Amino acid sequence: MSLLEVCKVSVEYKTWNSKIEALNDVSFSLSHNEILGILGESGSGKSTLALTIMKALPKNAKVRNGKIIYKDKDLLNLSESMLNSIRWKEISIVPQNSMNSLSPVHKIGDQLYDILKLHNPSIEKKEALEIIKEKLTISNLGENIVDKYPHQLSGGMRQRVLIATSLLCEPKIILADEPTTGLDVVTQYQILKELKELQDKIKFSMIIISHDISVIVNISQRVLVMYNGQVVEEGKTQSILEEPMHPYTKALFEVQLMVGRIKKEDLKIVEKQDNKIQNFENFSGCVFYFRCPFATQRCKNENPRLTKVKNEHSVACFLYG
Amino acid sequence: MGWKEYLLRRIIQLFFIVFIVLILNFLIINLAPGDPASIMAGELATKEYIEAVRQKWGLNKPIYERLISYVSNVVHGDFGYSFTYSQSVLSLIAERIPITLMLTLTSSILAFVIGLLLAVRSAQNAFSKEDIIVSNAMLVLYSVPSFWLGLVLIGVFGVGLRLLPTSGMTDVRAANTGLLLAIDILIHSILPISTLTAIQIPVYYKIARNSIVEQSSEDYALTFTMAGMNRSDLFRKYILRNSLLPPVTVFALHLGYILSGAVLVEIVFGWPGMGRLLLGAVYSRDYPLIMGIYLITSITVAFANFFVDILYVLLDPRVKYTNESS
Repeated sequence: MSLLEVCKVSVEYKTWNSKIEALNDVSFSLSHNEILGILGESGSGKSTLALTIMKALPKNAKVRNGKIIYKDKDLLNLSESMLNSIRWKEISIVPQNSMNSLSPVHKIGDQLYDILKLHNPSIEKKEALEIIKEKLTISNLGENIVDKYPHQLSGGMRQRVLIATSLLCEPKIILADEPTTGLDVVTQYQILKELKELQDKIKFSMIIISHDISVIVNISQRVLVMYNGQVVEEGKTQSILEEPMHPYTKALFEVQLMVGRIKKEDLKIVEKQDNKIQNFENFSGCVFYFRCPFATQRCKNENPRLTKVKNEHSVACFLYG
Repeated sequence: MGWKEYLLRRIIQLFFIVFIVLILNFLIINLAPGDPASIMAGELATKEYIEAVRQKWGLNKPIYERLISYVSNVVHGDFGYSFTYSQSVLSLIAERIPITLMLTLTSSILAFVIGLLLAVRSAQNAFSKEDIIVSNAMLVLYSVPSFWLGLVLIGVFGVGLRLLPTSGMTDVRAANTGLLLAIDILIHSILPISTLTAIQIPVYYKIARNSIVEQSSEDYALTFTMAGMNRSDLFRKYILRNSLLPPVTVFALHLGYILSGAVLVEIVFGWPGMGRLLLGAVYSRDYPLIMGIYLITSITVAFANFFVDILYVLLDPRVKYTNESS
């Protein structure tokens, strides 16, 4: 039985002169205590997906269709107040790390207290402080952080504060949107390790979003590969690691493994990048068509559906039937 | 410890700046064309009389000697005597300060409050029709010169509608006292205060609106939204506090011009404040009075800057007053 069910969600952004499809028929499910990794490059729709689940999309975005089922309720159809009772208490997010993910002119303790109070209106300040300190401690931070301002912390510490913030109301699901971007590799590794330990200890499900294969492979049990708003491959991490199927996934892995030995001809797929934006409006073929080295006439006319190829490993590519 | 050190350093700096300004003021005015002795002596004066006036006020001495004696007098609190009023400069200025403050302080506070309220309204419906209309109206108002607006208001409310008095601070013919005098002054101040308020609103409006719009799209706003905070709490607790810094800074800096900023409006409305005093002093080459007014003005500007620096430390934890690291 899955905890969260995302069914055929499509989201588009409107700009002043065009519409951009950010998510196209995205479906997946998340089980209890599972860590699901979502892998994709910039613009693949990963962050849009996180914002859709939190229902915090910008004004110019529109959910065209789909459902997100959590505890028999469709999150996309909830009233603002119902939604606010689920946000953070049931589903929380570790936002993309930035200088301003928390208010720069308020003390961290005060901000965390405000969030805690949203979901426990009757909580005493003293009790709240206990909880905040506990969450900071399990996120490997000192208790004195409560009296600090965000700018007084290093990037890694700020990220840990965001993790502690997401844990405040003991949610069932945590979305981690590029939780380690912008940190050095050592800190990145530490934070991932800590996240995994936390998940082991206090048990929650997690969706971790990243463009970095090593991050995803390190931590997740199952992987979703996204390209241009669509899921192109899905499977157990081990299975995808051993046998990536979609040409895009393959290319991603190859590039990752080739660090230091990349030749110019290996970058052909990247060079085709420009083509990807061209003329998508009336294009009905595969999203990866313009960059795919194996593209055929069929790929141009028809968009392959995500189909199970072997045990719990699906791919959207005609090469596999 | 760092706090006191910082304050002390800033205060010493302040004195230094005012001292330099004092000397510059003296030199610039003395370099300017025009001979105070001949103006004071009058149009029909003889050469000998002009010479006598010059000697009486010490204007025949070399400039450095006059500078030294002026500076030492000012340091001892003596701003000198006005040539034209034959009254101590300090007492002349002291008389005018409250009269000017009544216009400038009131209008600054009104403009700040009104500008901010309009900005909040606009920013909450950013890029709506209303926002665009108000924004553009503010742009027009921003480019209107104060004296022109004053004249228009006089034309409409004074000459046209005959609702409000257009010149002076009191009705000279009525010779009111007590409460009646207060009401009279209040009525006389409506047009000049409206003029000054109107021309200052756009600055606060623009800065506050853009600041709020910018802060509303900051990452922390999204974080709190996703944490389940509703819009009004988010605005009240976080966005407003973060947005206030720029308009408050402008307000505090503006306080520096609180004595000298209303010159044109005072002239248009015949308001007997600092502006009129300065204008008269310039016409009659009343050196001690001009220098006195300039000095007081420089001191207020310097103090306003000082005040802003202190305010910043109090309002924004990111601003540090020492180079200690956390």
